[in-house]
Amino acid sequence: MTEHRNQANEVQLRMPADGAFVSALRTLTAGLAARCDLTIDQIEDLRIAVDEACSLLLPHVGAPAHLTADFTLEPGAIRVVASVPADPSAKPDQEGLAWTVLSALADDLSVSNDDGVLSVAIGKQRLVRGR
Amino acid sequence: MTERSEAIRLLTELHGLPESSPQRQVLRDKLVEMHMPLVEYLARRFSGRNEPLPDLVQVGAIGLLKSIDRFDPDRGLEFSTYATPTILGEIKRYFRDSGWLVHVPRRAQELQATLATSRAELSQELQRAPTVAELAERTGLREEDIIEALDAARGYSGVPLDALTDENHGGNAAQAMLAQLDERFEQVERREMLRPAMEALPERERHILLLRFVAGKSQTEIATIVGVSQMQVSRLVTRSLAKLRSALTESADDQS
Repeated sequence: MTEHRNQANEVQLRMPADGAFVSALRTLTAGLAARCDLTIDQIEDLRIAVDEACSLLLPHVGAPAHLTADFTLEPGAIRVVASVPADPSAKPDQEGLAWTVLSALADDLSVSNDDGVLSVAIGKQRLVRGR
Repeated sequence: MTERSEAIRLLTELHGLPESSPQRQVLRDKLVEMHMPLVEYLARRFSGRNEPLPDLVQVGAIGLLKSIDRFDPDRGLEFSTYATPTILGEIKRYFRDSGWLVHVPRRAQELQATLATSRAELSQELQRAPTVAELAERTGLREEDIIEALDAARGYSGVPLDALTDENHGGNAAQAMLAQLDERFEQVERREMLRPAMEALPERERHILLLRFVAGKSQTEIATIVGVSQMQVSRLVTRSLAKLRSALTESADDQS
């Protein structure tokens, strides 16, 4: 996807896949988004988006497990991929309000289930392309 | 799924109707009713901040109304995708404008006032929300401190004091109620109610009203601009105001 993966631009958070930790993820997200020079309104949107992503992922976590969040930072853009272990056939609910809100707030959004690793990827850019 | 296509169907019908059609109100009401769960869902996202949820829902509903009026069904966008940022925008603006009832760490608290001012100034200058770096430059603060202050502002809990509620609501009435009804709220609602009524007026009457009350022109000046007699301007103003008044009374009756 990215042409040159620069390690210096990557941040990873690993935390219990438990609603109680979501606020830590939100705060980290805001801090990193600020680094990428997003506006404070965009930071707020991203914070809500990350929240929604968690609320889509966490119901699929069976036994106690970890959620990982991988951030890729660029000037004017941030991408976060939140992943949890889940059933290989699991899919996040794409009909509900959480999905509606998430898709409205994320500039890029994708979902994948890679052999039991369920992920939601959210991208947010300072300048939105093609709108 | 069916609800989404139903929304698009209603919106297409709504935007195809002439502005004077009474059917518009019926369709708008249906659309509002259909999307109130979205508004409530979004409002609840902000409910940790000690603003009463019903207030946030009200503010969000204004965003919903705006979305319904501005949505262009031809663009092929999902309505909820279009409405969500508008509803959130209204709620955020409310927080920004309502002055914070803040109880946060002292250092962050002291920054709030500075930040709020710079944030407003920069938003004006840039015509968009500022970035944290821009705020840092303007205020001379470190970016970390700003992020911390913004975080603190989110967590504001207006520690519920007994003094703020009266006996009837389970509080201690030894002290007077400090809470006040925000009259601007009603103004916002009225303005929103006025909008469709204004749109329902014939083009010329609307133009004259805007000249009179927004641009502050005299009747004689308007007469020259529009090319009618001053007497006629006077008559038209009286007539359009009467129309607006009855339209507002009607929609107020609908709500009660």
